[in-house]
Amino acid sequence: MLEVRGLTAGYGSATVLRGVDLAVPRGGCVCLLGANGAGKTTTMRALSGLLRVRAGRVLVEGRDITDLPPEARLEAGLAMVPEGRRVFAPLTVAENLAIGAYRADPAAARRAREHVLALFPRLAERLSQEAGTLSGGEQQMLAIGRALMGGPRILLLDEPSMGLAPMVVRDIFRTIAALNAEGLTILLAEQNARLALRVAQQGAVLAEGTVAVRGTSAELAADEAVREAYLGV
Amino acid sequence: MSGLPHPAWLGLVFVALLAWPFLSPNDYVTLLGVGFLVNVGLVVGLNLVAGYCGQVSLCHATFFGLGAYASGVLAARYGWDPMAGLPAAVALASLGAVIIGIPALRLHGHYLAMATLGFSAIMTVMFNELVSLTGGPNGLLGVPGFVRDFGHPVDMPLGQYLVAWCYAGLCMLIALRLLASRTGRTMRAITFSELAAGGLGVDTARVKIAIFVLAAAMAGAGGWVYVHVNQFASPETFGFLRSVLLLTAVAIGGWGRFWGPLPGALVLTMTPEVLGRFHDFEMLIFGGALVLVLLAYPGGLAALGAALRGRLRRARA
Repeated sequence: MLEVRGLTAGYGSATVLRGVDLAVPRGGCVCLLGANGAGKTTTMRALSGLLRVRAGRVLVEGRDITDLPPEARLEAGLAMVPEGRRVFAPLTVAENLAIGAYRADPAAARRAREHVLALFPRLAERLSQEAGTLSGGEQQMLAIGRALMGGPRILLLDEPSMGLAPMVVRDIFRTIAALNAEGLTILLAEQNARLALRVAQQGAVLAEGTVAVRGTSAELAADEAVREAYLGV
Repeated sequence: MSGLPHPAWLGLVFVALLAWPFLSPNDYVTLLGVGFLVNVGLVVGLNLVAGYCGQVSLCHATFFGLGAYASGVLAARYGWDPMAGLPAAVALASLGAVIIGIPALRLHGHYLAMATLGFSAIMTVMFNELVSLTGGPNGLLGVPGFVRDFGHPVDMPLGQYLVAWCYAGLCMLIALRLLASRTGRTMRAITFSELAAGGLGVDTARVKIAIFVLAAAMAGAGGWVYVHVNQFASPETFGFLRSVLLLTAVAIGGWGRFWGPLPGALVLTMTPEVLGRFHDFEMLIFGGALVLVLLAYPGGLAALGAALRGRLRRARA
């Protein structure tokens, strides 16, 4: 479904990614682990088209989207929930969702909105509230809901646990698992390896701009090096 | 909708503004009102670009000048009717915005400020050097007014006021409709986080360019009003200093505040009247007052008004 081959990207003269290979099967959830600065967010930005790729290819359902701008990637079925949520604070919850459906036709947007509000009843109670006044967990729900408004087939989630209380993080991950169970294909970049490996079927560990270890979640959770570096045991 | 008034309020304010020429003791005061209304239209457009889209433009007065020279030259040199000059004024100013906006707004950061600064400098040279068309530093003479000689000269300031009134009212109405629309919501999202908006498939460059061109078109129409009211145009009116003053008026009124352009344009229009006697110190006093106002009320005068209304409501409750 989503295939990344030899992805190379960076900022200015700094190269962050040096040939990343990833594959997310249809309906699967793959987590991308790694220390701070390993290139998780850079990978997400390159996949969503916000950062120009220097080399390598990105394919969605076999179609090469490497040179497409973000809006065309969205139409190809790829949506991203950015790191740090980035909800539009001065806009209401309803307006934030509406911008998520910027490229969708009205009927599809209505269906997507019903789906999102069923998924996150808390958002339904706060539709006319400014997004900046929501709690961190609610903002993360809104960021995910906003990305779902475009009706994506592949969801890129960048650090959904960032800055949230453990209870809230568990809620968010439960929702991610539910979305995956509905058939949504997910690539999840996450610091919290323990939770990520519980939701994902497969994982890849980024180190120094390339995939150092990959395997099923069970394999990674049992791997000595991974356990030591990312699970803290 | 956050901070947008009901259209009826806009109508009420403009009906009230109609009283000005009838209350004013002489033509000079009526023409001050014309200057105010032209400034309102200019500041409304710049507020869309700078206030709502967060893009610093330093050539708004240049677009104003392009509009003024387009219609002024066609009327004075080629005998066009002033009314026929309006589309030309809007078109030339919009064309300038397209040329500058498309490359500069595709980039992120302060490129628009740099590009518009350069454009302002280039066009000031053009206004000065194309002597056969613009009259150069001596100015463009012989621009006909809206009412030709066979009209009633007594009614002239009133007629000019009505044209400027329509212009300013239309600019504010367009801004209101735009801000209440889907595009308005998108503009606010872009200002808050261009990255997040881009990631959601919003073509941020296209929205910014469209607003920039719209604002330039408004300024071009303002130039058309100006040139046929004053029946004269000269380069220093459309220079860099005027662009900075317009940006200042946006700040004084309040960035991204719908009503901001009214107090902003009022301060801009009245400053030379009130401070004119200080001659060289005029800009110093203006600048100092600006710093004080913005330190005390970062949201500008429109925000101050909103705060007072809120206090009044609380006091009544």
